[in-house]
Parts: sequence; C-alpha cells; structure tokens
Amino acid sequence: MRQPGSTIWDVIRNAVAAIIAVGAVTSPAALAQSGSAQTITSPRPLADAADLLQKEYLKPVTYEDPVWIWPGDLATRDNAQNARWTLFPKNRSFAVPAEANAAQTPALNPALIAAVVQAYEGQNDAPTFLVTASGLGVHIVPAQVHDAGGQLVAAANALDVQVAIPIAQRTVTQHFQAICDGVSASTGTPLRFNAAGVGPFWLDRLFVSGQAAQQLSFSWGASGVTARAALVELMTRSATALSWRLFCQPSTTAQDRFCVLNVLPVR
Amino acid sequence: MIKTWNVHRTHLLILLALSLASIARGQNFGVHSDWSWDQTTGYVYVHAQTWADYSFSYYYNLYAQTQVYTGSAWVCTQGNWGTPTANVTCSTYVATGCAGPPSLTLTTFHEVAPTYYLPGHGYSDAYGVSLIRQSPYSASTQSWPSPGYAQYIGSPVAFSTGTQQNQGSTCFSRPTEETSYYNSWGTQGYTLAGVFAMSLAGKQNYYNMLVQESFSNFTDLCYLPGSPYSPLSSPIPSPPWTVSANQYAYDNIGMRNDQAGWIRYYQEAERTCGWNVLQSMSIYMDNQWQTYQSHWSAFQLTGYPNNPSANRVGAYRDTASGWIYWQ
Repeated sequence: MRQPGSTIWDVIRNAVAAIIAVGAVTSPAALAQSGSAQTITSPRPLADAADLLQKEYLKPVTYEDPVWIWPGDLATRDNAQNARWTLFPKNRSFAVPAEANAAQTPALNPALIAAVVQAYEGQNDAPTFLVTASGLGVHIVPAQVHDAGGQLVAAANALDVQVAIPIAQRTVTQHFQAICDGVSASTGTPLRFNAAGVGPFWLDRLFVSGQAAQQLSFSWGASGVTARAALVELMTRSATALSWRLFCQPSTTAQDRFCVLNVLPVR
Repeated sequence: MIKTWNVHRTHLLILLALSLASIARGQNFGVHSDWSWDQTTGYVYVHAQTWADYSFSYYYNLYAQTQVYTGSAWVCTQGNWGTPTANVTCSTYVATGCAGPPSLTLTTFHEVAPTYYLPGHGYSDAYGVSLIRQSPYSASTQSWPSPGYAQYIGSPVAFSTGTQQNQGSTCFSRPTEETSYYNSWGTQGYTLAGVFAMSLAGKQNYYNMLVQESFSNFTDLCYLPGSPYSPLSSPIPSPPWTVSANQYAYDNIGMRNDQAGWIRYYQEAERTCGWNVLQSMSIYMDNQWQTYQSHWSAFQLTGYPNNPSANRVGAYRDTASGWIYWQ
C-alpha cells in the first residue's frame, strides 16, 4: 500500500491526479493545417511526416536521424538546471505536400515519400535525406549532414553498417538487442534498443497473440547484410506491421552521444 | 445487455373431488403457488396457498409453506395455518443487475390436517373421511383413493404435498467492485514494475470465470519533443485471467527490465513524469464481456541528476500505489 510520510511521493501522486484531471496529452509535433496542406514544426519534422503517412496508409515508413554534431543544428532546453540532456535538434518547419493523403494518392509508394522529403528539403537546410524501399516499407535515411564545422558531408548511418548476428534462439527483444549491439560495436556510437510500448511482453505480443507471446523465442540470425536489412528481415516475421524511428541524442561530448532504435507498431 | 425478464407465474392446481354420498356439498381442496422476480430491485416474490371449500375446511386445518433455494442458501422459509384458506407470502432480495433471472428453486408445501379430536382416539374424521389412511397420492391421476373410515393418527399431518418450480436461466451479477492492493515491487523479470493484487466483490462467486483488461487514454507524459525515445504506445492487454478466488490475480504495472534506459534517460533529464492509462476490467458472463470497472493505472519516475540516490520509480493501480528508490 501507499508509503506513509512520503512527501515527495505525495507530490508525485498529486501531479498524476492533476494530469489525469486535466487530461493532458503530449503532442510530439506541432501541426497546423492550412487549406489542404499541413505544416509541421518540430525537432524532427520528417519523422512526424512519417508518422502521419503511416497512420494514413497503415504501411511502415521508417525514419533515421543523423548523428547530430554541428551546434547549428541544435537547440538547448534550459529549464532543467541539473539535467544531463539539454541539447535537442532545433525546430524546423515544412508544409507537407497536399497530395500526401490517401484521397489524392491512393497507394503509398516511394515516390510519394520522396515528394515529401523534397518538400522538406526545399524549405530547410541540411541534413538532407534519401528515400529507399524494402519488403517492409519505405525508409527515410540521412544523405548529407553537417560535420562539426558545419560542412556538408555524406552521412555515416548507423543502419548502413554490416552486421553479423549469429543464429541463436532468443526472445524478440534479444534479437533486436543483438542488432543494436552489432551496430554499436561497429560505429562506436551506442545504439540503444527501445520497444516503445508499455507492459510485459509488449513487443512479443506484436509478434504473436495470446499466451504464446509469453514463451516466444525463435532461432534467428543475420550475416553479410546491413543492419537495416537485418531489421527488415526480422520485422517481417511479426504478425503486426512494425516500423522504426532511429533518433539520436546530441551532446557536446562525443562519448555522451547515443542513438535509440525505437520499434513501434504501425497504427 | 440486460434481458427483460417476464414475470414468471406458475399455477399449480390440484383438485380433489370427493364423492361422498353422505355429504351433499362439494368437498374440494387444492393448492396454488406463484412467484416472480424483479431484476431491478433483485427481490423475489412468492405466494403459496392451500384452500378448501367450507364444509371441508370446517373439519380440517390448512397449511401452506414456501421456501426458495438460491443455489447457496434457503430463503423465504415461511408457513401459515389457515381456514378456509392458508396463505403465505414472502419477498426477499436475491440478486440484481443480471442479464437473466436468478437460478432459483421454489418449493412449496401444503397440508390438510384434521381438527376433530376424539378423546381416547386422537384425531379422527367425524365424517369417515380420512386422507391419511388412503395413500399414496397418485401422481398420474392427481387424486387420492376414496377415503375410508376414521382411525387414530399419531401425527396431525393428514395430508401433505409439495410443489417445486425452477427458474431455468442462470443469473450473472457483475462484480460491484474490484479493489487493488499493492503487493510488492517486482522481482526478476519485473524489477521496474509494481505488483498489485486484485480482489472482486459482488453478489455471487466468480470462481472459474474469466476476467480481462483493456486500455484507453494512454499518455506518455515523459516524452519531450526532440527526445531520442519515441512516445510510448499503450499496453497490450494480457490474456484473460481465470478467477481462482476473489483475490484473483497479480498485475504488473510499470516498465519492463529492457526499458531501464528509458527511465534513466528521463531521470538524467531531471524529470518527474511517467505515463498513465485508463484500465477497464471486464468479466465474461452471459456469453459476453461485461465491463465492471475502469480506473487509472500509472507509472511515475523522479530524477535528481545531482543526487541520483534520491531517484524513485513508482506505480499506481487505482488507489493503490508503491514505489522504490531506483537509479
């Protein structure tokens, strides 16, 4: 039961009650709609556009950050004086093309995503992005990024590295973790894995339903392929369409930089 | 869905015509019972009657008794003597809110007892009409054999019969409350979650029934635009629990072990935040899932980057909560 005499906990409890009462909802991006086009303003507007298109077409549209290095790409959150993580990608805006919806473009295809990326790049400076396709869906991948001095260079993407994952019996989470471990070892920048949902066996239940999820493990491995191709192959085994968002945490010190492979269902 | 229950009314009428040359008037008696159940109030209403015509009743006392079996207890056990009719009525609460009528069994007893007492001989029948000596009752003809002569009887019960009626459907009464209890902080695979026990209260025993959860209104309150962690998605319901006792299961509320990095990140970002979700509980009865309670479940973290030993994580299920220091 509740711990007695815990003033800090009381504060937390009251905060929860207030949040529940207000019904607050955290919105990942500020969206504005003008006429038939939506304008997105956020630290990662292309990731938010990918969210919109995934929801519209119920097809995976993945997004990957570059490793943020150049201060000109970053903004500071300064309302937490003791916080370790205060740097974020700076806000950018772009108007999503009006044809990026199922009414005007019935099928999701790489050309549509390329048009969205082109619109973004027409309204913003670097980084720039490529659009590729796989058996899973469409992928938005960094093409050119700023180096530490602000010069444009070819992006060295974490998921472009070759991985060698020994075939072994693992849980779903362990398979994804094995890919991330392989990438981290190759790039030197930690790639953390985040099954972006709550509850026991959350990711397993996306792969199989019912009680079977709690005992789910299977033999899998990958070698001689990029980490992105390994992810695609692993995700196609899921009963639920999955997608990813690879987001990177900027830092002024290289050893503090890391990225997170967020795996989430398409819905 | 609540079905409409039509008042169940049963009449049981047994007529016995006694053809006696020495008695001009009819010598008839009979029994009757009826009952109904009000799904709104949950009351069962019972009536039983034993009757006889005047001439017959003059020499006999009549008795009627009711009792209702609910499956776990006898209720409405009442009886009355009377002349020329014996009536008994009863109403009592049995169950409400059901998708159908309760599973009830009504039993009524009817007696006709002689009242004439012959000194030295006990009870007897002055008219030579005995319902005692002639037995048994013939269910096929619903009659007794012709009466014989009066004789001593050791019991005042001259004649009795019983009727029994069943309400065929099964009553389901949803739990009126589910109470959460903080049991402990998780161990092994659930070291970042609180473990809660749940108990059900209601009008019936929920043993062996299925209970399941569903979720809505999930909000990740930790997410910051620009964070490397995507906003979290809502929990996926666990497979249904089978109720083994009223305290029927344990529920883990919190984060998985593989999400330690998520917690640590927001603690290092000096956050006091978490997630909350509306958890709705349903029970499978009357061939459908019926929701009996919705409450908030939540997870909270607190981070002090300059004093990590004070970092906490906690979990809520309804009004129950628990927490630990965690960094």
